[in-house]
Amino acid sequence: MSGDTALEVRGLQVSVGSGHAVKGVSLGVRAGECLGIVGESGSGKSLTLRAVADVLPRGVTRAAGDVVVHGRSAMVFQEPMTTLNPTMRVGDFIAEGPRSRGVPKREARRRAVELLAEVGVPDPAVRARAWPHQLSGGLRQRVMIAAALAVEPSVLLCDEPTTALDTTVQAQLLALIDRLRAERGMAVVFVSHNLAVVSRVAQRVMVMYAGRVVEEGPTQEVLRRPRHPYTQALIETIPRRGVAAGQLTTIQGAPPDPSEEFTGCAFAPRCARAEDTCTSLRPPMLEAVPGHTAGCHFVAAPRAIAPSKEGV
Amino acid sequence: MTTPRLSVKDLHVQFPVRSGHRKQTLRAVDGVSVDLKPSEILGIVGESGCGKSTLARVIAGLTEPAHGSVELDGRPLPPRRTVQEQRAIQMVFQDPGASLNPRLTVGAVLTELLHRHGIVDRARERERAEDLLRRVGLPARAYDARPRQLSGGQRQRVGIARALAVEPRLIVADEAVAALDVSVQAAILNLFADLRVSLALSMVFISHDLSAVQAICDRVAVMYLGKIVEVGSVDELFSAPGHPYTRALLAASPSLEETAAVAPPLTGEPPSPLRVPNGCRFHPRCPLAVEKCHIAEPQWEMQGEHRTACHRAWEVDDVTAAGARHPRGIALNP
Repeated sequence: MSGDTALEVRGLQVSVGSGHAVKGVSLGVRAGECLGIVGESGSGKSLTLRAVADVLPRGVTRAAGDVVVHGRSAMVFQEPMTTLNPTMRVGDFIAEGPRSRGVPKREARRRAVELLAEVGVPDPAVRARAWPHQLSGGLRQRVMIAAALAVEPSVLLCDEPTTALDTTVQAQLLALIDRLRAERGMAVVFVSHNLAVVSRVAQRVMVMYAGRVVEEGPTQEVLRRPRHPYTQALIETIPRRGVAAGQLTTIQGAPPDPSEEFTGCAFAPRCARAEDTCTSLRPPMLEAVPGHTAGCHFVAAPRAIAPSKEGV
Repeated sequence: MTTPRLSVKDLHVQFPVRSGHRKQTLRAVDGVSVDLKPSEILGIVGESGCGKSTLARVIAGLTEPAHGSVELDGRPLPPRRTVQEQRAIQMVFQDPGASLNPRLTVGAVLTELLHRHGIVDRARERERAEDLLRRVGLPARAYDARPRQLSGGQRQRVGIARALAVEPRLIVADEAVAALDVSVQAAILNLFADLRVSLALSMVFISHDLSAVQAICDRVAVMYLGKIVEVGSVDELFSAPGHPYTRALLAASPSLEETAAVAPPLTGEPPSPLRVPNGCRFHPRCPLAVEKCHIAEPQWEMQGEHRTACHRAWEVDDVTAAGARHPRGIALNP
């Protein structure tokens, strides 16, 4: 897992209109490692990923920062139907990657069938001749992954690739992405709003809030000993056994407008333990334990997370 | 025994489907019977295409069944309902943005409903609408807001206020929290729980999210290809699932407990309701299937109030046992 660095991002800023929706994000992913990025809508997680892939929506621009991909990157989106070409048989769609690199047509087609087999599509030779609309959501997403693999990426960028799928199919795709990462030694960046999904594939996780990273560390460490009050609250809001609705933890207030600028901590207005410092001074990322950092003034004295009722 | 608030009896819903020149019948709901007690919350879970949303629409009177009946407080509701009958069962939808008219203020939406159903007179409409807004946790000034000025969570609260406005006896919530951020989901689930206590609300809660179902529901029905395959209290069903499909759903449901990617519990995808397998409809994907599962449709196996339609109910195999072994939930303090 301690491969060479495959992706480096430093000081990334993404501007939307007059403000910045991503306000200085830095990250690094090694070959064979999966980094999860978690956040709610408006946190900047998807724009960060799209800036890395250079596929920002119209009117949204990369204002600052460096993105270095060692090798090639490829992206898998949430809605395969909007990315697949409805007028192309899926085998030809996958073959476009190798074709664009000068691989002869027959060879590229053969490669497409191999890739369909690699991503677990049954009867790959038959399925290669299918049209996108003939496939289920889960199969379409496997086709998208095969098309991404066709460019031999060193970095696979996944933007909520399983969100639109049934949990049973989601579990299959998460296992597939995990297997491909391990077998190919690919770096994977996996963006999701769902902490539990990320915990199934990512060795490291980054939590974003209002355009900034607020916590980063090994996934299990962050889930078990979250250091940022926002991460703690996010974990506590997930319904769990023994906690009936009516007693679920909620986070007061609403997330700020993505382009809003703060002098202090963006989470302070919603934070139960905020003090004067929090609104006047933005906390830097502080190391809690080696490899686990959080952007909170009180990182050294984390509040114990409320144990589940059965936990004690 | 008290009269159930809702009683669904042997419900069948079919849609004609044309593929090329062939006419086929899609059996979306294929013989569903289930009861709901007053002020009970019943969850309905299953993969897409299992018929759970169609069932919701039939209960709410938005889709006509081919066969079977829906009874409210012991009285059968006709397939085509009068305004009064429509009023008794209200739906809350997944996408609160799409189900609200963008031109109308929240106040206009609510007062129009109050007026149409003659619930209060004109003079008291505004007061009543503001009451409703307070009840769902919105400030009174939301009365003058248009949907686009509200967040997703606030719009869903308006959707709930709209359902409550006509004083229904039953709410059908179809994926009502699926489109919301996790922190907002928790707030809406808390709201439903409060309303259940304060208004003695009965609810059918349709969801693919087992953790939300676990938090809000008293009982759960698991649907597969148009049929209910297991029903029981939340505690029984989550701790001792009887059907291999339920166990697979539990194992596939993401929880914070797993330390690494687990082996996918179910292979393949749900088959099409156009081609329902013989015997037990789950047998092509079932790790426990034996010969009789291919031939005979399973009858109910009972453990008290907990029922499972499976020839090998409560038998656990190695593959799906993962679902039973991982009681869902977080043990954050190791």
